[in-house]
Amino acid sequence: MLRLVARRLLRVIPLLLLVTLIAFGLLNLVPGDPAVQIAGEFATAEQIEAVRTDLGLDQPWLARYGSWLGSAVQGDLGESLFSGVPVRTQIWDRLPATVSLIGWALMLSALIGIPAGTVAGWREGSAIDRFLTVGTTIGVAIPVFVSALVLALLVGLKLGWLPATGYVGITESPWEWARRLILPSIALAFTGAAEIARQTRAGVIEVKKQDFVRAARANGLTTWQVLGKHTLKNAMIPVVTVVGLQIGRLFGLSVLVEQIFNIPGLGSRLITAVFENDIPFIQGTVLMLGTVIILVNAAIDISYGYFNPRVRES
Amino acid sequence: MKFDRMMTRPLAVALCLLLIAAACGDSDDDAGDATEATTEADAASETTAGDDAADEPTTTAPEGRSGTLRWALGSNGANFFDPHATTNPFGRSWMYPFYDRLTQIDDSGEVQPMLATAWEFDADGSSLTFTLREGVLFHDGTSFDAEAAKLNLDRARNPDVAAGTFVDLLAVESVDVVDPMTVRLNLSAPGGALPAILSDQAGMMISPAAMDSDDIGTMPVGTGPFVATEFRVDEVMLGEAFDDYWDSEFPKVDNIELRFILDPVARLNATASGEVDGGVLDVVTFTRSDAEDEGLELTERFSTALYQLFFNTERVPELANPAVRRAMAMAIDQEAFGAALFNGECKATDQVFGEGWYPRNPDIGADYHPFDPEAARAILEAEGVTDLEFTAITANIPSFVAMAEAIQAFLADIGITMDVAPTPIPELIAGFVVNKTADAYWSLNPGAADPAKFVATIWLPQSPFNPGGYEVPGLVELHQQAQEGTTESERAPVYQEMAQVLADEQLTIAVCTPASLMAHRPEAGGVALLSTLGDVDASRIFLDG
Repeated sequence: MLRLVARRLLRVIPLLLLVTLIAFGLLNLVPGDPAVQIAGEFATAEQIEAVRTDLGLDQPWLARYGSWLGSAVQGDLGESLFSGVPVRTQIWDRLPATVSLIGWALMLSALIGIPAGTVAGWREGSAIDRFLTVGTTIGVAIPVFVSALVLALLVGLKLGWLPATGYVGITESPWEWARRLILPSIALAFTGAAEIARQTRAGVIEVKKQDFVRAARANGLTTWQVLGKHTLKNAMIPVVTVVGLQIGRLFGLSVLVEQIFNIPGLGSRLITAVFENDIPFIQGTVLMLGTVIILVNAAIDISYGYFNPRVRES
Repeated sequence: MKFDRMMTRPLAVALCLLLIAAACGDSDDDAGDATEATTEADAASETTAGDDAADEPTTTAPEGRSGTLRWALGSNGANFFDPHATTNPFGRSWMYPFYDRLTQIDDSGEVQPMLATAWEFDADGSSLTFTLREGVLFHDGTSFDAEAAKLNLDRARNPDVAAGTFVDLLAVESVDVVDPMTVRLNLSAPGGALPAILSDQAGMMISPAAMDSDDIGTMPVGTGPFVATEFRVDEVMLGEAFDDYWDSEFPKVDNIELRFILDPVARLNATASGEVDGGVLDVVTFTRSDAEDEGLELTERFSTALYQLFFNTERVPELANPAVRRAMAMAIDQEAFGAALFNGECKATDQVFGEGWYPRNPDIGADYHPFDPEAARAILEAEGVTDLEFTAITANIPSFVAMAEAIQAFLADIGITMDVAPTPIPELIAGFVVNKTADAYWSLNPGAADPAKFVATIWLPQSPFNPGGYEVPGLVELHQQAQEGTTESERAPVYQEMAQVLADEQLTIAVCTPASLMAHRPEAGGVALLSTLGDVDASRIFLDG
């Protein structure tokens, strides 16, 4: 198992380098000159050039990449072009809201998706299976901005059951923190729960037909023992993969959900950063998110070794 | 708000408000202790900018100070608060609670005292002397005096530091400290616009002890009614009441939270649910009844902001012909435009100076160039213009693109092909102003504190938004003449003549003036909008109960 962990982690390094290269390279292809924005419409060519020099934008691409990467590995992601506030500080300020939102959404997705998929798969062809299949199809089909708006307007504003907007930190008020995350995380969890349920259902259907499951049943194990110990564990590999993929997807969708529910997370800041061409912030965020997603995928790869010993041996 | 209506609004449209919402804001009715101060400025303008004000506030100001005011702003500007350095024209509302200005403009559009209690031009107009308010402290405890004012004015006119304001103070040659509470601006050119200009960012006073700090862009240190306590980029600016504020009437709340909520749906939801006490209402996304149905009150102002089509006459020679531009103006049905794209909240206009502003020419109505496609086609034929084709850039925001496409359709009806090029915001100024690579530009021009700034920015041969350098006959002379006047009554006739020239020339095609609308909870009182800029000064708002 240790060899598996080491092997997977070693693979992460070139991938991370690739992420830094792509993040830096893509943003250099984005049109627009931040120096012109900062200097303003009345600036002379000399003043614009002075701003460009000040920002280091007059340096060759590779030199800027090397300098940025060197600072990034030391945790210095630079400063926002306009505010001058360190990117690291901004990410650190906003990460708790985004992580809370994604954590809640992931938990809800798994809590809804795995049991629903298990029941549907175990009772394949039954009324409950058909009901859940229709439900998950709808869940996959509903765009997140629709579910978010419906929840905010109907549950938040019309019915007034839960706050429609805003975020409170967990240290400030754990109760308010939880209350304010319920609606956005449900909106975010819709599709994830449906996808997890479908994968779980497919996994359970496949595994329950295996000989070792039949043997377990023939040995007189209870349904719960057969399901929990033999079926679910073996059906989990594709489910874990889907859960891992959900993390990247949730980061993406959180951009929309944070806007609609006015949550001061990374996603909402990313939108303004794109409008402002705040390249250091975009680069820092892309690097951070890329790193998280790569590490999550590595963890998922490693988890295969837990679920399936043959992966360890290979 | 209507549920089904909101559901039909894609979020992408909402995000558009980056620019539009920025034009909205509120003002301060109460011009400090304007009535007790004396000024040489003339208050001759008889037009009242508050004619369009909606419902009167139903709340009454409390005796003491209480509560935390939470106000939502949608304009992009929540990232940099150096009033002299920022080039973002939509960031003023973030600064008003923390920075006082030398002057301010009252509800009727007249310049009133603020940190300066009086001002006077000398006989030949070669200098402007300000008498400063005594007993004013900066948030860091240092005193505001003539030396501080001089340092600020010198900073605000230094192009190496003050990218946003140096152009406002080009007429100032030097600044002298006359005595501890008197400062004199020596002028190299007529400076009639300066008293009004100094009600804007150029007149914001930063503590000299803090002005060179690296943090001044994110933690304001001024003399305003609130002391900045915390700032998080594009999220919130927190402030607490400044106990030593010079105006004992303000502030009326203990704390202030200016929150950045870009999405107009989230902004209205936040107000309706009570998360904030009020905020800018996006008139593209919502109607008034959407807010009123939620029990919210509305405060409105039509400021000096203007939706216009700008041209580069150098790139497209036909556009250098005023008859062609007039024909284009006649092809646009401004009423239908405002009704369809702004829920009726964009007033049709054929002149560049907004209603209630003293430079406005009352003889130029919205039908000065009446909507008449047939006549427009005849003009083009008479001018021998066929197959006119050009490209207009506009912000790549759905509402701006929709507006540009509406103009495109109007022009297509008279045989003009205007391609619309949605362009990333950072590229707009670079393309149209700096590199001059765009034929035309559809945009919202933000309000200005003084018409001179409006004119200098857009219509003079060297103006940045006149990249073709087109010379409007007589405009430079009129601009000079207007600057020589030191009172509104002296300047108004010149600007009215200028409005006539610009209406005839149509160097830019003015289409409509958008409403600045604030939706707020009934307990929020004192909400008003600055008469020329249309900005919100949240520091004057109080909470009743």
